[in-house]
Parts: sequence; structure tokens; C-alpha cells
Amino acid sequence: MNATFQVIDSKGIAPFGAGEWSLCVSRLREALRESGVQPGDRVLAWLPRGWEEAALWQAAWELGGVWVSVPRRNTPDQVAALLADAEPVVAVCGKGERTRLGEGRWVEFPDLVSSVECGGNGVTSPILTGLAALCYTSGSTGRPKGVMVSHENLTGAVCRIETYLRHTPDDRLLALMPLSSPWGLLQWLMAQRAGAGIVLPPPVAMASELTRTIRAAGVTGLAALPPTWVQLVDFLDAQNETLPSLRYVTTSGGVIPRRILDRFPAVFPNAEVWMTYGLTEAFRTTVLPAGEFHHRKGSLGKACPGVAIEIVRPDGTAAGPEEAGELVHLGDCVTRGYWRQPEMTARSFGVRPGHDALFGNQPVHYSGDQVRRDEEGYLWFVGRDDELIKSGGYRISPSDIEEILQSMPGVVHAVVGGIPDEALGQRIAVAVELANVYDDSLDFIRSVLRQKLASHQQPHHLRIWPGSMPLNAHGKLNRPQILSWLLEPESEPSPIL
Amino acid sequence: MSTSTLPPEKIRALLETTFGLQSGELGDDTALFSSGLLDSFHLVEMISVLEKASGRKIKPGEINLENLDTPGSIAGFLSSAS
Repeated sequence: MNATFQVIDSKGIAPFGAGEWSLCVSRLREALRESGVQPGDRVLAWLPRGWEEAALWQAAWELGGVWVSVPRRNTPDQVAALLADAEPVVAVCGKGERTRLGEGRWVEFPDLVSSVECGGNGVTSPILTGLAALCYTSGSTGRPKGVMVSHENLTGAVCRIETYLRHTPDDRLLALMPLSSPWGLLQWLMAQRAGAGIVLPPPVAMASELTRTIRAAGVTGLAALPPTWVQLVDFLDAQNETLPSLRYVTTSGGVIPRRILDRFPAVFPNAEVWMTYGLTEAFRTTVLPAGEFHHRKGSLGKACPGVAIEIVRPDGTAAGPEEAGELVHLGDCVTRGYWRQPEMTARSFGVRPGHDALFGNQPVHYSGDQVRRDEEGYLWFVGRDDELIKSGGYRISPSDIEEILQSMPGVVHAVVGGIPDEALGQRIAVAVELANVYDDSLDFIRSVLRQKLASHQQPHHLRIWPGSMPLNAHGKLNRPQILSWLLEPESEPSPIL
Repeated sequence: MSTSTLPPEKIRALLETTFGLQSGELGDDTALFSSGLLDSFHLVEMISVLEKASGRKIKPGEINLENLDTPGSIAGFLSSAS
């Protein structure tokens, strides 16, 4: 950690004086040590966004612990499923949250802090080899997938991102991305390595609040997902304002509408734009050079130096120029698989039969994204292989939602699909066939979904298929027909109060 | 669409239904976003639901904590002339 590193709150104040951050981390380390954390043990947290979570994470690494941050959006049911999957030695929640979480041995953060009398010598030396974190990608109950991220994965990503972002001690990065994702961890790691400032985000990522924080703290670098860019640009335009302190903005997580990208130079007048691509399973792997942004908006760029990718046909041969194929990551940028899920891991991380001529026997990850390379070697997104929905930068598996629906009494069939949406990429649409339709059927379904799914997984449209759902020649649901019905606009009256 | 007056109790009921909260869980002064009860995904849905209920379009510049953080302030904001 570089000596000029500092933590800055959302109002622009630095709450920790010289050496106090290290003191705080070392104190938490002693508390975790007393709780029995050893190298390889998971330290899990479900905490509101703030310095507490980051300090706990760094304390975990002091002992070689594996960091597991549970997405804050997760419902108590989902949190419980994640807890059962990760089996942490310590699980930390916020003040007053134990009762809300129900089962599980939780310790509230203030109690953890006060559990160690005096401890922590202010000297920090994290163990930076081996498994660093489990980053969970799916939020539905019963099937959490913890991506095993190694320290080498993170260090490699820091190095390749710094070849283009080049942070200096004068930089102030906004820690908007959550610590449950590699990108969120990388913001802190880059700030510490460069001796820059890391700025904590406001309690809610509303454009008005983000603008306030960026101004108050003099944020110089912003990494965010598509919905943030849409809201922020629309807000700034409506107010006729700009954010001149930003020297770079960097994007990932899906498609940003063209009309929003076109406004970047106006609202971020001093910012270079670095568009990137990556998955939790292989992250921050491509970049579009800032100099290319103007005439290649929307491209994924090219693989970063040191990253190996291939665009592959189903038969295992490499796709030609302008030909769509599946993007496969190879080598060091690939994470270690899904925690304790050998079958799921083999499905996406194992070299497929007939593909070994191209890949040999090295770590690979099949992204499921169809991309093509243009004449000059720049990558463009074509579509998804499967029905995975991308909404607000998050991946949502239709089958996860369908399973929950189908387990409800009275639901005969459920089909989930994505509808194009300018701000979110896709909205989630659900068609259900019910054994009997009652006045409160939809309300009941929604209330169960609220309990079992996170906010970003909640369907935007919930519709009852009139009658019985159509079957195809094999006796299976005719999904294409149902999905195209979902794409038709609804003719529902607005709610009347 | 006609504009309708939406007093705080109607806003509370609407939000409780929309977000699956217990009836009566929200007070007029309950902090919705600054407390972490609702997040940025809920915000998108809230805007849509409030626009439909009030018959009024909410402009990007109006989306801030002053206007939207409590049922009371939402009621006040929506009833003010646009």
C-alpha cells in the first residue's frame, strides 16, 4: 500500500488520518484471528456500502482468508443460500441486522470491532497468494455460483488496467462498484497501489447524489455500469451541467445506448473514455483505446496486452474475420472455477471435445457471448448463445426464475424472457399458465418473488397466458411462441388509486 | 391521463404494495433510499409507478433525495405544479 493512499467519504472528507486506516485493518485482523480465521477460510460479509466492508476485506487478506461479499440486494433467503454454499468461519452483518437474517451464526460489525480489547499494531501485510475471493454471480436461491478469484487473477488485472488508466497520487477513484465483484475490488487495489484516494459512494446511486459526491470529493475516475451512465448523462443534460473533474470514465457490463455515448464528450468534457469488457469468470480482459472511442463507439475493443482470447466456431476451429463465434478466454486471466461445483465448472471451464487442437490443455472459459472481429481486429458483440438475460449490468438466468415460479402451487408453466430496454439493456418478462386464475393471483406471485429474488431479478412484466400454453411437436413448451407474445406490448390499464 | 392528488398515505400504500412491504411499515418520514431500504433498482420501478399513479412525468433533474426520500416529500413534490 502506497503511503499517500487515503479513504474519502461521499462528502469529500477524509475520516482516517495518517496511519489510521492501517490501524483499523490491523485491529479487525486481530478480531478475525481470535475468531479462528486461518489461510483458506472464508470471511463473509453482508454489509451496507461503506469503509467497514473494505476494512474487513483487507483484514481477511491479512490472514490469507478468502473474501466473500454477499451482494447487498440479496434477500435473506438468498443470503442464507450463499452462507450455506461458502461455509465461512466468520459471517459479518451490519448493526441491528442479525434478527432480519434469521438462521446462521452472524456477528454484527460493531461487536466484531469491540471484541478485541487492543490489538493491531498498525502494520499491515496481506497474504497475496492463492484464493483471494469468491464472487457470486447468481442470486437465485438454491443455485449460487461462487467464482473462485485468485490473487494472481487480480494482480494481472491491476497491471493490465494500469497500462491505460495510469493512476497517480492525484487521482480520486469513486468506489461505486460493489466489493462482491472483481471490478469493485480492483478500484481499491488500484488506488492503494498508486497512492491515490478512494471515494466512498453516496448511500444511493441516484444521479443527483453521484454528481454531488463527484464534485465534493473531486473524483477523477469513474467506473460504472450502463444504467448509471444513462441516468447520469440524462441528469446532467437536464441540468445543463458537466463533470469537469473526471479525467477518465470507464464502462463495462453491457450495451450503452448510442445516444448516451454520443453525449459523453459534452457532459464529461475532460474525460478519456475507456470501454471495456469482461465477465466475473474472466474479468477486465478487453479495452477500446480512448482514441478509438469517437469512431468505434460500442466496440468491445481488443484483448488487453497479456490476455489471450479466441473466437471459436462450434466445431472448435477459429472464426474468420467478420465471422461471429463464441468468445473464449484462455490462460492466466481465467479464474479458478465455481466453488465446490465441479459439474457447473466443467460446463464452462473445461475444454470441449474437439477443441483441444485450438486450446491445448490450458485454463479456458467459454463466455457464451457471440462476438466478431472486424477488419482491423476490433471486437463487436453479436448476441448471447443462450437465453441469459442482461439487465442493468447483471446476468439473470431465466431458468432460475422459472424454477421458483414452477414450484408455486397453482403455477402450471412459467416462461421468462428479456425485452429490449434502452436504459437496462433488457427488462425481465414473465408469462405464467395458472391452474386457476384468481383476482389476487398476480399479487401472490409477486409477493413470493419479492421474498425469493433480489431487486434486480424482479420481473418488470408479469402476465398470465390466456388458456393453456402451446406445446411443440416433441411435447415441450413452445418457448419461441410464448417469448414473442411477451414482446408484444401489453394492453393493461394503469393502476387506479 | 388526469392528475390526481396523492396524499402521503396513498403514497405509503402504493410503495408498500409495489415493494412487498408490510401494510403500515412506512411512515410519512421513513427514509427510503438514504437508509438503504430501497436501492437504485427500486428507484427505476418507483419512478414508473409514481408516473402512472400521478399522471405526471418525472424529469431527470427532479430525481433526488429531497423529492423522493420519504413518502411525505414524494407527496409534496408530486402535488407541486410541474
